[in-house]
Amino acid sequence: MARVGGPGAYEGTSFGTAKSCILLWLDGGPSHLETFDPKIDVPREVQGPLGTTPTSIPGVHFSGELVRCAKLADQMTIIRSMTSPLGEHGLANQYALSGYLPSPNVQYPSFGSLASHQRALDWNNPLPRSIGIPEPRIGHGAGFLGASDEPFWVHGDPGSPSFQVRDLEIHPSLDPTRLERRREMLGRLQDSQKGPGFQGAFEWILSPQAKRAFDLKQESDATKERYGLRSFGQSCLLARRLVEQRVPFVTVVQPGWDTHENMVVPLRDGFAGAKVGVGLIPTFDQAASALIEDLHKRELLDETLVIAMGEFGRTPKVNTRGGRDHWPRVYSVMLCGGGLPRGVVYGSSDRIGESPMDHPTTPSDLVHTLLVRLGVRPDQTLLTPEGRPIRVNQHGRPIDALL
Amino acid sequence: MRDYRLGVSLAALWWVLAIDTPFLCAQGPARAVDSIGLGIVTASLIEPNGSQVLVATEGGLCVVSNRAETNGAETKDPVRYESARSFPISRSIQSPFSQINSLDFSPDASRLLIAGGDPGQLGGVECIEWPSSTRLGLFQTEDQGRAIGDVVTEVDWFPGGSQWVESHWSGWVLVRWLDGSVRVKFGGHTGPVLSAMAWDEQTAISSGLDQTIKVWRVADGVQVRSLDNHTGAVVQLLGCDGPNDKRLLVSAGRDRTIRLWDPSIGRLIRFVKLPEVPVRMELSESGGLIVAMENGSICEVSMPSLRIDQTVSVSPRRIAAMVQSSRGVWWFW
Amino acid sequence: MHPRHLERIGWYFSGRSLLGVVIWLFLLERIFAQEISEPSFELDVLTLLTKHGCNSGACHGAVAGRGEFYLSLWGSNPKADYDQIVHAFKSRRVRFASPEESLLIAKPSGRIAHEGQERFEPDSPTAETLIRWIAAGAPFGPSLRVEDFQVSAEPIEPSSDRLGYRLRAFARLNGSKIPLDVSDRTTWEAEPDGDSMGWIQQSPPTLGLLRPGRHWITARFAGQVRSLVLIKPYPDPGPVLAGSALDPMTWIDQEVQEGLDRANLKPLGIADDLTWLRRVSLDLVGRIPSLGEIAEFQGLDLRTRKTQTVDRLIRSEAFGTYWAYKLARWVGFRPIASEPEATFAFEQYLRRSAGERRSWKQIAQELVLGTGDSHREGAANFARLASDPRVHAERIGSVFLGIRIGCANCHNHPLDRWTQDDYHGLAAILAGIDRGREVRYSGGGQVTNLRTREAAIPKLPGQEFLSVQSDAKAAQANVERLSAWIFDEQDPRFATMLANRLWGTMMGRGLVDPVDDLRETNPASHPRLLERLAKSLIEADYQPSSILKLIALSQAYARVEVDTSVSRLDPSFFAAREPKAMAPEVLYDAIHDALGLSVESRAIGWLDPTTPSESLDVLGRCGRMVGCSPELSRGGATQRSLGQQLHWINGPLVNRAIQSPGSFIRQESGSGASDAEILAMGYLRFFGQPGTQEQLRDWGSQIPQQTEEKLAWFEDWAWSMLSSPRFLNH
Repeated sequence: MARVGGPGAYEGTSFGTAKSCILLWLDGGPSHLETFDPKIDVPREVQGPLGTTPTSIPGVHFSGELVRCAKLADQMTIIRSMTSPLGEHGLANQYALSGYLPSPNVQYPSFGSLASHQRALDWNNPLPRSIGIPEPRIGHGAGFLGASDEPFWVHGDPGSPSFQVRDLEIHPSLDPTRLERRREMLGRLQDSQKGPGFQGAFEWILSPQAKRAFDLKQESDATKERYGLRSFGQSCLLARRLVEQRVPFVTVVQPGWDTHENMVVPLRDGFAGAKVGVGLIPTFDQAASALIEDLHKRELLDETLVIAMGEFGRTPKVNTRGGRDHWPRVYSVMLCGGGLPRGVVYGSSDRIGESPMDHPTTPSDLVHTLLVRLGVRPDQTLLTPEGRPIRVNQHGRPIDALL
Repeated sequence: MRDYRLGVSLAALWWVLAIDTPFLCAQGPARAVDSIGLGIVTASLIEPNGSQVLVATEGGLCVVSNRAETNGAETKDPVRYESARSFPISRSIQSPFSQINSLDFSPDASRLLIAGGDPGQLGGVECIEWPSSTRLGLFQTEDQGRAIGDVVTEVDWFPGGSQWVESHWSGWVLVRWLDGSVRVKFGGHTGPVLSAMAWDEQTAISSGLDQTIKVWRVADGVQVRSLDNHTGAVVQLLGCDGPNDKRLLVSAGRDRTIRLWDPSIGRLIRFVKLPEVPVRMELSESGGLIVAMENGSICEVSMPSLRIDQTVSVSPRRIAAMVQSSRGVWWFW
Repeated sequence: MHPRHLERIGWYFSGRSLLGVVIWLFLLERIFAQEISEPSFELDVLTLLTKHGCNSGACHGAVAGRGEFYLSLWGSNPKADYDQIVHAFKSRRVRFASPEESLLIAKPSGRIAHEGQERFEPDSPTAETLIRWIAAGAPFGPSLRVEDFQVSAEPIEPSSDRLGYRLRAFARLNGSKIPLDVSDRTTWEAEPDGDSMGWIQQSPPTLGLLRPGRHWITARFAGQVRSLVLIKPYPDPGPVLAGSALDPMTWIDQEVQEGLDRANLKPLGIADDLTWLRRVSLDLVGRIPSLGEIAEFQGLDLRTRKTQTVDRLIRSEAFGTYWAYKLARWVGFRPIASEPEATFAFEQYLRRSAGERRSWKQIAQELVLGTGDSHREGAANFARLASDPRVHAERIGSVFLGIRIGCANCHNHPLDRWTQDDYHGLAAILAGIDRGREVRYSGGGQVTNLRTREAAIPKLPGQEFLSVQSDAKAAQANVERLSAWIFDEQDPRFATMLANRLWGTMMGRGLVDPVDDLRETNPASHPRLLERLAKSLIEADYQPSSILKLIALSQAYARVEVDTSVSRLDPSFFAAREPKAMAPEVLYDAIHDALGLSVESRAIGWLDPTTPSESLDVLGRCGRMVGCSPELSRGGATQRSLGQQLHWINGPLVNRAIQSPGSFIRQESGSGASDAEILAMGYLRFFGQPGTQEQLRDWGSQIPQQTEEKLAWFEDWAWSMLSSPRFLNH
């Protein structure tokens, strides 16, 4: 796909500091009041059931269940003043991930696909450039960039002992030689046709090193336990392994954050009557903190951007069913690594977490900033298959405090 | 002959110019501002001695007298509702506010509180001596946890006369001492507060856009209970006498209901559905409730049964304020 | 009056006297002047708020409003907006004594902090108009009635390479016979894609086009919305590839050619007949042509063989089977939970209807009106696919009208004419249907209209209100009215939707695209062609085969296949054939057919999209979606995701078929056919064409000598043939 106005020297030392990115996608709209922006001293119907905990940033609190992440807060950048008009799943996902309001005329690519697309030219690694764990969600796709930039979704459950990537193992009746021959034959049939065809898949299948990246049995039990043995924890561990292999973009999905009713159960307990909380927030706390510490230990954190976000926040007032409903007017995002400033809380919401009080930041602004860190020029123009030029990022302004 | 033709032509021309074309015949809702004089009225309060009325407008406070009343003349028919727009203005009092939302005389009638502000910019309460109208204090608030200040929506003296409660569009409710210093701030509402009343020396009740009525302690600003049944903004609160000398709370909501509560136990006693959204309600001398609605009609509701006795179409436009004169006639703007 | 006096009066008004002239001029001036003498809320204020985006869905037009200030989306409810602006909360938003300090002006002009930023300058015409309006007492003014809202574009700067237009909007207001120029009060929008389209300016309304191709402009005025399509011609018509000239130009081709002429594009040439044969077989019956069919075709008269082939395919049993599958996908057939009898009855109904070549209007009507024991009356199950009246309303909109009416749930549809009353009114009609095993009408069902917060009154979308459904008979009457309206031939919305879908399934792209999003602001690329196709469909009693035949025999259908990423052509002109991938079920069957395997049941026969099949799921089978057409995704089979590629290489789908003992490779080599013969047969089977001498020679030179190795080689060769675009696309 042709580029108009290709990548040149971009001003600023913050350009391209992140070689890889791990997006922890909290699907369903995580409540900002139960995660990174809890409120103290507010009416009961705003406060919510989870309490607060102080963090390693003085004066800043996280939700009471984010104990381990709270200790790492001084490594993070928290944005508390995200704002969006879209309160529907699907639409909000697309906006949050592409930086463009969804349109029926154009399928905008997610910023992950843009980062993956950027690396296509110098990519000689058999692994896919964008990997999603485990099941696909709306908005993460490549849009008009085409199938070659679509994330590869592993499916299955990394937490399961029998986990393996579907169809990665060579068919029992075949061997690498025959695969090579098939590849070569197909190449001859395709010589007049454009398109990568099956190139990417062949390279991957025929590379033992690439396949090993997905083998979690190579990790010690201690490491696995540190992340948490269930799906999300092991997915984060897998993400770390992939980033070690220089995969530019890994998405880890944690579904279930759409807590319209009785939110204590999905958020803290995990199931009714649990003695020890195994819900979304303790699971996230364990896995995300393990991931950050692990990346730091392996000296990958400065080059790896870790993002934890969802498509919107939730209503400041708890509803009649003990839950919160969609609230895109203000929500929070957690960022870490990739050269970002440490221990920074950017922007704030008002007293009850209803509106941004200062530094309102749109998803376009956030995507613009993340793209700069990932080394993608936001002012670049790409062409759709029909020849329409589309700017990589049109409406966002860079968040100076993060660059 | 020529004059005759010219005359006919001019008459035809006049006829053409005088008619409205079909385009202009349709009339939408009437103009918002009345013809001459008062302009838009936002609050009214009858003076303690009953012969004069204070009317709050965009320009300031007007003191209006009803000559017929003060002259003691007998009116022909027992007119129940009378538009007071034509009453002569005997005095004007300047106000620092462009919107005056609430007026309240102190229990000994020596002071008057004027509450309001500039929408979107600032809010405040002015205290003046009555009847001299000398300013005793101007208490403004800006930046109460929000980037901009906004108007004070209601003000109410406590029975002892040494403090008052004021509700703010910004969401806070304040209790101030006589000198204007803040005694306590109540932050329990999650949205603009439209009404506040001093229930007794220790308790205040407030309501607002968050569709709740909150009962709270004046000593420490701690909420006692929240009355949650309204499904629309609660625009006004009143206290009334119930059976067995119990004092009950009446609320008017944009969900088109009037609700009767016992705030001491937090119980909704009953409610009535109105045909339209209520704008303002007042208690009559006989103990009934007069509710003015958005379409300019009035519901007469008997208390405490909340039964609608009558609905009277009183005015083509909405009624912003009403007071009952000493002769029982309701004056409205 | 004396006749002479009348005569005199008439003389004055006849214009022959100076006085008469003056009188006429005065009259005319009065007519035009009266519109602007008194400010009108709807005409002057609300249109400005729309132009500045104040009542957009991202701001105060959102359902939750902004800062406690609620406006109707795009000004669809002027009375409510007037109340909010002028009366609400003691008129806090307007200040009559000092209008410029009113929140309505002070906030959007930047005097007071505004989350929505500055929308206009404090000294702009907008601010002046608002100040003047408030100073005049903020009247509502005359109620606005708009008729005949028309938009057009006049070219300006015709010679420069930037094509410029002056945008104009006219409407007749309040019963006036004279259209008024309302261009300055109309909000103009173009597709938001940055600099590529050009530029659009609101005052004075002008448009500049940079990119060649088709452009859509949306115009909003007083709650109405219209669209405008403009074509900027391509500078270079493009290459012409040679092709067969035997095909006559049908009326379809004339319409398509007109579009091409306007865009200064030349169509690409016609593909060879064998390519056409494979293409039409897949599009009409979902199968690749067999060896026998290819041979037969080659023996027919050149001039008539295409027509004969289309007739043969349409008459075949395979046509009935394939179109039962298409019908099932179109109506969103799914199993009825825990009721296999109902599922079976529904499935049988669809099979029979397609197999017996029933009129699709008949079928559709039965699905809308179907009642009875759903275990016996298959059609009654369509209503059961929806769990509640709202979902049912959205399905009816999507399936039978091709509209996405769901957007009008919370506010009037921002891009089309559907109001909240329409949406909830439609749901209210369908609330009168009982969806148990016995599908029947019942009175008393209700939905709440989110706008009025009360029970919705049954309403035909865009039409009048119907009577409340107090009992079963009234409910039935309303549903019958609904059916009559959907299938009305005076305003043939069903026929248009169906004709568009049929075009899309043959050509790879609808005349309205996407095919389930027909709306005012998504106009057809060839409106007259669509109209004629709809009429043709009606005349053929809604037999899809009639339209399919017309398309199959047109030049537009037969064009050479070119990838748009190479040609950069706007596909909506149909200058070339877009490579189209096969639907997963068709592909599954095609693999087996090409290898000569007989299967117990063809995948096309599995109407139930939840039939367990990992391969079909990986290939992107339609699951939940109504009216899903997987082959309408762009780019054809060159666009396969990595997961699909892996499955194709290592999964069981292709590998097991290739290794099956019944495959033609094993059969032929077992019965002594030569290598060359197998290669030639393979070309015919996989690509529907004989291979060239050179191709056959090339392959032949690589075949190993030993038998085991030879078999493996042929399997690998078969795999590569099945994986090439020539097999996967058509």
